[in-house]
Amino acid sequence: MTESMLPNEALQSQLSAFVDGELPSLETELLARRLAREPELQRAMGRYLLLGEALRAPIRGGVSRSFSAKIAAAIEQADTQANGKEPQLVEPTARKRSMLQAAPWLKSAAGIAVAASVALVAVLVVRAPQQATGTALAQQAAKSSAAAQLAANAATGESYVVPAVANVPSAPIPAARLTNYVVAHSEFTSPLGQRNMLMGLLSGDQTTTDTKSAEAKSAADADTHAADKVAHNPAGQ
Amino acid sequence: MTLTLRDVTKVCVFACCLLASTLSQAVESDAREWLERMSKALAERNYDGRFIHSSDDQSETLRIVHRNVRGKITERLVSLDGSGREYIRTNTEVTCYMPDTRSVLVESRPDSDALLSLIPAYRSGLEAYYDISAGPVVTILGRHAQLLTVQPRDEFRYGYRLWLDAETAMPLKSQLFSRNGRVIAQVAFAELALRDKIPDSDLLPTVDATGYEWIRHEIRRRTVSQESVGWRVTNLPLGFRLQVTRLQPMVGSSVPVRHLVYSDGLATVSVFIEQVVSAAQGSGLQKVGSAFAFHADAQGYQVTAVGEVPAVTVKNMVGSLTRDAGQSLSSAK
Repeated sequence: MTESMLPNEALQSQLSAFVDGELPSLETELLARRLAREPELQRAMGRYLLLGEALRAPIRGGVSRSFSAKIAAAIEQADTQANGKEPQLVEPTARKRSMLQAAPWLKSAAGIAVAASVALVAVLVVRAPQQATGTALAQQAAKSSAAAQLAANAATGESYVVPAVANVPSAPIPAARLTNYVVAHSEFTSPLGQRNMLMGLLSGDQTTTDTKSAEAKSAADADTHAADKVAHNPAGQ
Repeated sequence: MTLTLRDVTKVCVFACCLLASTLSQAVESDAREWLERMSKALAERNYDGRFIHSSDDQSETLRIVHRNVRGKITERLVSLDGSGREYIRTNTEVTCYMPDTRSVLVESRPDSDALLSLIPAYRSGLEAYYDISAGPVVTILGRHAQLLTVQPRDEFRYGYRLWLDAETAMPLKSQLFSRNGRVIAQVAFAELALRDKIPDSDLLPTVDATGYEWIRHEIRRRTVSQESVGWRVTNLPLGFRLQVTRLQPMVGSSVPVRHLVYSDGLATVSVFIEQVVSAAQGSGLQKVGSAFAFHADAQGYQVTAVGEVPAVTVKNMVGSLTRDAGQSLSSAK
């Protein structure tokens, strides 16, 4: 087994403190400078952040088909953005620099982490055997595979950014963020709910469904609130 | 002093009412005791079982091995279909073996992570929001099982149907259902062995992790309090109260995310508040397994509520989040 993730123990503890939001600002700045210089360290950091969320609780759903589709879309978007326009979260302007000294670095580190996380999820989808059946799925797997590669490349780049799903009214919650939320939430569910989520833990094919079917189910469940309008995603993922 | 017939009747009626109400309370508290016994059994017993988890049109078989040695819990969950992933959890560490990505994730945390103890266990007021009743005794897996129904009293929460082993209170089968009776998720044991002792070997992963990549993370401490720190949900279903609030760093977020936990003692909803740098993302509803998530943007914040509750509950909660200044932050319509 290889445990060569992080260069040394001191750095490991520094990264850990950073991930937990406990690193003093001066150290954060130094770490950020190193991060900017060393792609190796960026990768380590990305994985580190990812891990924190991946294992925040013993409960974690698998990856659904629509989930993987969303991720593939997010990666495509990220790729377009990375190759095309200026990334959103780059160095602050000189004017703002003094005020935002730590924050921009936090942002870019988080961007790397999302890229790594997205890549891992994409890989999960590609390799999970039960996912690779059917033409549509095969297509999706191929797409995810390519996307994973792109994300992996991007994660090592210096200015990789995962863009927000902006300008899309009623967009669903970005997949990585939603997963984080669900995992964080599951720590607090009662033994009944916890059990139920626990059972879903290792399910390879259950996380999100699209907004429209969520709406339909919600309408089916609601006795008196069927008239409530639920915004749904025009992209119809 | 003379008693008229009318007085006697009054006293009798009163006595009867008192008796009836006492009896009904006794029945309810008996049902609640079943719930408490179940939670205790799930945590404290030693067991090894295989179960089928189904939700909508999907199902998956898993194995669970659970050991308790003087309060030290070790639990192993294995996916028997497909991915072959294994999760092994102890009081201080969670390890996830993922053969499909040839990687192992490890997260360690302080032993005294007493987050869960902040959630009250089946408090007595629960009956105000749920009708908890013990049904007939039926046979499941060749054992006598007590059927317990937890029926929500309004449309803001889900119900549970539980078949508890009459002797041990282990849930042999359980269902999550909506108020109109639709089953949302079901867990059914195909076999379950209660043991005096679980050998170490049963808690070892079957995955051979040679050559896998190991990724480790240590959580030192998190900021946890029971104050709302300025944020408040005003349109809460009856009985929901703020249990915990904490700040935590998250992937993809440049600032720590504020996490508020609301519960009625059974159902739990998390509200996440995150400052957003980018443009507004609108609002929307998503289904996550058997839970709903609703999110909305307002005044530079992204607010998301997640919980195993009907959609209307998460929507109302997001829509009525306010800051102590008093103004409503979100217009989640």
